[in-house]
Amino acid sequence: MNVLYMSAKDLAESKYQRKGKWNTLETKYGTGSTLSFCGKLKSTQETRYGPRFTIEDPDRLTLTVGRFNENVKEDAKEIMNKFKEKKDIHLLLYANPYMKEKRLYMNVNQDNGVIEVSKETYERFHELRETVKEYLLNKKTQAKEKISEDEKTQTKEKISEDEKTQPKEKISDDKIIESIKNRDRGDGVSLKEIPGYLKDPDEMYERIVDIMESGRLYEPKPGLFKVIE
Amino acid sequence: MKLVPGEKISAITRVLEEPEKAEIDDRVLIVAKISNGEKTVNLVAWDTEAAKWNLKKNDIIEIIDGVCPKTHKKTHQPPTIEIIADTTVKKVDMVFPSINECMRKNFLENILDYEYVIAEGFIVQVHSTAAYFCNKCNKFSDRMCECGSFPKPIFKIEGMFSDGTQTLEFTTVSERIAEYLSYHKKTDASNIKPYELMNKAYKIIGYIRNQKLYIEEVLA
Repeated sequence: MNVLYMSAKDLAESKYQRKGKWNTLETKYGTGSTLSFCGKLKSTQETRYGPRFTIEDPDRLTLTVGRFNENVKEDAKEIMNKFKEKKDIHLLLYANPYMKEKRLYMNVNQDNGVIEVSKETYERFHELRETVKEYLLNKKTQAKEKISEDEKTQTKEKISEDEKTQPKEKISDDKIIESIKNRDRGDGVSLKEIPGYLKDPDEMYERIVDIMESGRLYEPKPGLFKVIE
Repeated sequence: MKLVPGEKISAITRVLEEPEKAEIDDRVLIVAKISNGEKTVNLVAWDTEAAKWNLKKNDIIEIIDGVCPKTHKKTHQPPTIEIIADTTVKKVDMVFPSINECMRKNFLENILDYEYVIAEGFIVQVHSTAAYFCNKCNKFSDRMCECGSFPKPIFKIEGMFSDGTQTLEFTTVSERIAEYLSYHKKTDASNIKPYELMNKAYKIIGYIRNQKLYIEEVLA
């Protein structure tokens, strides 16, 4: 049993689901099999499925009481009789959702599923419902943000992993020599200016040494390299 | 402040209430609720340690090497720190959450096993309002025990409590709490109508053990 505190308005944004043997309602802030409503009784009607109550919280909602439970049907009948005399009745109801031919019904079928409450309880119910709703919505938003943050981190990690595993694109000796030649303003070119240095400084240094040994580069000053023309 | 039955614990806390003294089977017990601003527990001292007790409501205290009773591992006992001979308890002067801040409302779904909660919600089902313990057979029974005797009812309310985030089985921990919760005397225990308990919201202090809420206080 998972009780969700609801208002009639919340139903408009909810989705009915059958989960195993449970009829549940998925709202923006949670899923429940037992839905709790509290409102002022506006009208009653005797139907072949049991008493039908319309409440206002302030939106209107109609519920059928006691289709499969004689105890709660009796309680509902007592309320119906009382309603003939007294119009100021507030009810707390525990209903189960049910969908037939794309129409959502609210059935009250548990013992003590319809209870007369004071106006103060009605007000306190809705204060509590608002607090819980706000908390659950915040929690859901935070969870979503966390998921999206985690996804971002995972994507970043994947990119960096891919970069590590991908074979490095090797710059040819000719390209290195050409870039030194193009960048040289007279004194030579430092290692840092050579493309590929930032990716792997050690490897680039070894490459430069190799090219120098092959006689195509020299080091006129420490750390500066020139092409042998 | 994570309590693990059988393990030592040190914490800085505030005393939330005037300590209560009780005598149980020739032993002296002192207990008071304390909180570190996030978690609330009972601070308990027996006999010699109880005699040394000099704490009062609102004190800020540092507890070093208190013990979470080993016997609480498999019982429904509340979260507890016991002062034993090796425990040091000293008053400290520091900026610390006030009693009101320590006693903030929380949601049931945030509470772990062996933790206290102040929650607000409705009783959504009532299973029973009285329990029967047959002294002859030394076990809980129906209104009439198998042995044919009729044990006196114990005023104990059991059912389901929901705060909108979680719905849990609950029980009242004492007849006094059952009376507070129901506005009925013990003598009415068997005659309370469930709707009388379900027609209002409650703000309660309780703790959770094995997915069950034990209601210890009714605040409003």
